[in-house]
This record gives sequence, C-alpha cells and structure tokens, in this order.
Amino acid sequence: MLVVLFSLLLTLYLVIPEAIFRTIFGWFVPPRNFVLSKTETAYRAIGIAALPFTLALFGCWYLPGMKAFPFPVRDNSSQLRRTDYRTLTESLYSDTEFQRLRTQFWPAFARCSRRQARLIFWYALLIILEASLAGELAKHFARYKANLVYQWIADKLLFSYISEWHPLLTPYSYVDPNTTVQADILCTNGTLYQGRVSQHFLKDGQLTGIFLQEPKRFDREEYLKAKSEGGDPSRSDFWKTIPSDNLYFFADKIINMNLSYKAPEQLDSRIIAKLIAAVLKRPFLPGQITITQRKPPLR
Amino acid sequence: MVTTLSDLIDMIERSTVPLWLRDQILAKSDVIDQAMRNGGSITLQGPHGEEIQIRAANHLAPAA
Repeated sequence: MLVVLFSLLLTLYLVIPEAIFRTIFGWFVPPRNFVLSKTETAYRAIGIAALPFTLALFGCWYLPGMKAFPFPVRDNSSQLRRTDYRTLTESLYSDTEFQRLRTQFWPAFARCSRRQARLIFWYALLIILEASLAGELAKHFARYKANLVYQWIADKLLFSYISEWHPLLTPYSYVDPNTTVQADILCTNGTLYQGRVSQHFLKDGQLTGIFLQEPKRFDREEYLKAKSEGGDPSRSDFWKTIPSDNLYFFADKIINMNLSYKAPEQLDSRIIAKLIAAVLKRPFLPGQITITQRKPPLR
Repeated sequence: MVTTLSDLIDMIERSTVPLWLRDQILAKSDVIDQAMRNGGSITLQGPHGEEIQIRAANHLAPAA
C-alpha cells in the first residue's frame, strides 16, 4: 500500500508538474519533442519542481494566507501534522496496525488529504508561474543573451525545452526582428527552390512543413544546356520566379536545406567580437574589445 | 559537431558575419591577437570597400 501511495505522490509532485511546465512553456516557444529516459525525466522534473515546491511548502507552513486557503484544517499545528502522518504511515504499513489505529486513521487521512490538496494547489500555481516566466525569458533570448546569468539559465533549463527548428527557421537569435531567413530547398523531385522562410510547422517538435515567400525555382535543365553549349552561364540567370505568395513544402519531400540569415546592413559587433574570441581562443570581457564598421559595402 | 541549442545558435550567429570578414579574421588571427595584447587596433577591408576596425578597449580612437 505504501508503494502505491509513493507512486501516487511521485506522479502528483513530479510527473504532472513537469507536464504542466512543458505545456505552458510551449505557449511561448515551440517545444522540443522529448525522447527521454526515465532517469532523465526524473532529473528534469526535480530541477523544475525544486523551487516551486520549496516555496509552496514554506507558504503552506508559515504564510498566513496560504496556511489555511484552500482546504483549511481545523486546529492545524505542526504537532498534529506529524501525528497525522505517523498514523497514516503506520496504518498503511500493515493490516494489524490499521486495525489498531482504525479510529484515528480516517480523521488523520481526511486532514492529510486536505493538507496535500492545499499544497498541490499552490505548487501547481507556482509551476505555472515558473513556466510562464521561463517561456517569457526563452522567447526574448536575443534581448537578454549577453547576460551571463541568463546564458547559464538558458543553457541549463530553457534550451532543453526548445525545438531546434525554432532558432534555425526564425530570427530567434537576432535582436533585430527584420533579420530574414533565406532557404535553398532541394526536393525529392530533384528541383532546387529558393525563398524567404515565412512560416514553419512542427508536430511534436519535428518539422512537418515550411512556407517560402518570393519563391524561385532553379532551372537546372536550361542551365546544363547552356553550359553544354560551351558558354559560361551565370547561375543567377536561371532562377525562375514562381508566381506564389506562399509556397508550401511538405517536410518529407525535402532532401536538404541550405539556410542563410540576412542581417540588417549594420553588422552586429557583438557577434564579430564573439567570433574573434573563438578564433583567438581567448575570452574578452564586455567592453574589452570594440568593433566599428567604418564603411559599409559600396552600392 | 553541434551538440546543444546554445552551440547551434552560436553557429547561426557566426553565419551572419560576411565570408570575407570570417576569412580575414582566421587569416590574420596572429596580427589581431598581437594588436589586442598591445592595446592597438587593426582595420580589415572587404572586397566592396567595407572597413571594419577592431580595437582594444584601452586604445584611443583617432579624433574625428
């Protein structure tokens, strides 16, 4: 009986809160499809649950409002709480103990259930709050990414919940929302398409389809023909505009995709500084290195 | 190999740096390193007249 109770508590305090967290988080940023082992799920759930659970427990024990709402317990004291849980554990341990403590068991059970229901109520609320905050932070990654504390939280918690397609197919990692994602898509029919990614669709974190705006098709046959005739044709002359505002591609018809990110005219000095630090294998503190774009490309 | 989303984002970010600039940073890494250690600066020039100046923080910028 104790094992059943333990499984029930594990589900109520770890499995369900993790599922709530993932659902709420998914409202802000497309979530990743999870194929985790039971151990990984448990570790992740513990990480998510630790803070809300501690706060809920503290509140239910000490804070006036949370102590009695909802499901109040009359004359609730720490002494009574301990006695109730002892009665409950001993009764569930063996039938003999249950028979012995029968008269005390049911009142203790009722009080414990009310306490647990109150704790779970606040715990779930705090999980929702935590998930909303995490979702909001993950959504604005580009804005906060320079902050070291944020980077640590993002690496350890937020990113494990985000689908890898989100940063790949949206300007997620760029502060300037005008950054565009350009895609060259080779389809199973051997045709190469090009365009600006406008929408993409995920199912369980996996890509199911993608919309391209201003789509073009590469006329390979004409290009090869021109080449075989001995000329030196320019590839750009063989991109044919497709009269479509949004051209949809089914993900299972895509062989490969070449993605490029068209940033605004002004280069991002922080990204260049990061690249230099990676090449020199030497970290630079903020402000230690200055990058200035003295002249933009000539038109 | 990209192992985490953080690495993936770094890779995406790097791809917005123009190829000529990436090539020059790689080719002139020793010169850039020297300039940074000495508190100096270096200017990299692109094929279409672009100019990028990399400057150590304690280096005084020339008066405008």
